[in-house]
Amino acid sequence: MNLLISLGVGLLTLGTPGDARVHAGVHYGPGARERMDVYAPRRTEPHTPVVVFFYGGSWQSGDRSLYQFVGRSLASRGIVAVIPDYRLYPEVRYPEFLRDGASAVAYARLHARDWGGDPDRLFLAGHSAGAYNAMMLATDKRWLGEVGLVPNHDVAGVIGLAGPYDFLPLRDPILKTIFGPPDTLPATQPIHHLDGATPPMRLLAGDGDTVVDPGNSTRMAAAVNGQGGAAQVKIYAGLGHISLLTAISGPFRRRAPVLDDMVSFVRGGAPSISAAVRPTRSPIADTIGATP
Amino acid sequence: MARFHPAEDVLLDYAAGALHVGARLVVSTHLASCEVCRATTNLADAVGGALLDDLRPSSLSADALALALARIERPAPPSAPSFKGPHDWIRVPDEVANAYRSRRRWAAPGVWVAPVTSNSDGSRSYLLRVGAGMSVPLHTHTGDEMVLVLKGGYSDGGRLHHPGDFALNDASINHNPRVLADGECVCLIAADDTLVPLSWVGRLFQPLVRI
Repeated sequence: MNLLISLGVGLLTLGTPGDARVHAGVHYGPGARERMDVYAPRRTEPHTPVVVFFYGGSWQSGDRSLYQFVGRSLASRGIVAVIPDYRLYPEVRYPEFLRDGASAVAYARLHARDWGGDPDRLFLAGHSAGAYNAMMLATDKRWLGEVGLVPNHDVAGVIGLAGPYDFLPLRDPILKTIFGPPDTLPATQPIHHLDGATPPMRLLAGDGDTVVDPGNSTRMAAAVNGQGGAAQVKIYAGLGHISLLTAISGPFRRRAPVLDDMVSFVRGGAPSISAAVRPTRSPIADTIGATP
Repeated sequence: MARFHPAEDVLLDYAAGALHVGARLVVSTHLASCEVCRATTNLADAVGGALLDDLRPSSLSADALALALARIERPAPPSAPSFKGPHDWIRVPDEVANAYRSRRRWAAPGVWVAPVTSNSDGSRSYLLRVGAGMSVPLHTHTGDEMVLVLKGGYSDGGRLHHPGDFALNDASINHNPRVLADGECVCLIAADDTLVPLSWVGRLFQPLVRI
């Protein structure tokens, strides 16, 4: 099954130079799902950044082998990309997938130098449910705290792709099971863990996303900035939940500069303002670059 | 290589098992010949419908069991050409090939239809063949209609549709597609229309035929 799926997305890895050194199936924990693939650029610099990318799948599905195109694309831009699996429902529920994520981050920080990366330039990123995981690790200090890390000290920044950060009330019965009883639900929301000391973040989404409302990104950014944090948001015109992700891959890169905008954030630049963003969507477009 | 593809919403619905059987057949037939949409759909399958639906109050989240069952029943896109008809057909699944072989019936001069699937909710899929150069009189739709060109081509609103091209027509569309002059056009069509019987497809052409 996984082989078929891998073949089915093989197209996505086209057009990306195969010059990454791949460390496949690295164990960051004892379980079968506690493994990660690492894509390291063949040429690294003294301060090569490391991005831990969490894929999505409603906390119910996903496999790191599908996301080679993300790893190779980032590595082709001189970034060490770490793509961990993490345990899923029904094997686990909230917050166990966050604990797996924290273990993966701790492992990546500990071993960054082995891959040519700089542990002090460690970024978290994710798509969809994975963006939630990345954001929770960066905002709720408890999870990284359990592995001896502090978000605003050990995480250089967060990139969210089409992430849910503020999605109550839950309607789906499976999500209700995953996230637990109503009285503890507010604590599961990244937007409720802001204190002005969160790492800087760049939130990317497509205005055609019908799975996760792009309002999650705009609300989160507004809340972070309202607390004195540094959040940038960019909404691409015409991209949906999946096409935001596939735009990272070579064959689809012309659709929108998603990869450029991820890389420029990691490298400390401004998001590229391109034709992909409708200037007329002022309430959203105006927020681009409005914050540090 | 197709130029017109299903929108991402359609592929997400397909991945989530939320399309009726006829629409599923049209999309899977397109996927069999379109690597780009196949990659997107496989990724959509992995990412899931997410069901994080403050924007999408659809039936997707209504019944998790039905959704799970639909996922199980969803046929995999055909991976190999199971039927190659006359010259320039795209590959089609067996049930489409079978309908072509055994269920064609003339509906009007130059026009045949062949039912492929029908559902208790009134949705259905069928093959429609229209002769070279013929046009379908101006019409609209009461429900969603998916059209996939299997052979030949037609023009619609200045766009040329060729084998593999996908179109979604709904009530907002008023059109009179015309088959290209150089040969017959065969399309696989899925309609969720519960009102119009298939025999009307032939009747639609009657005014033209009488000219």
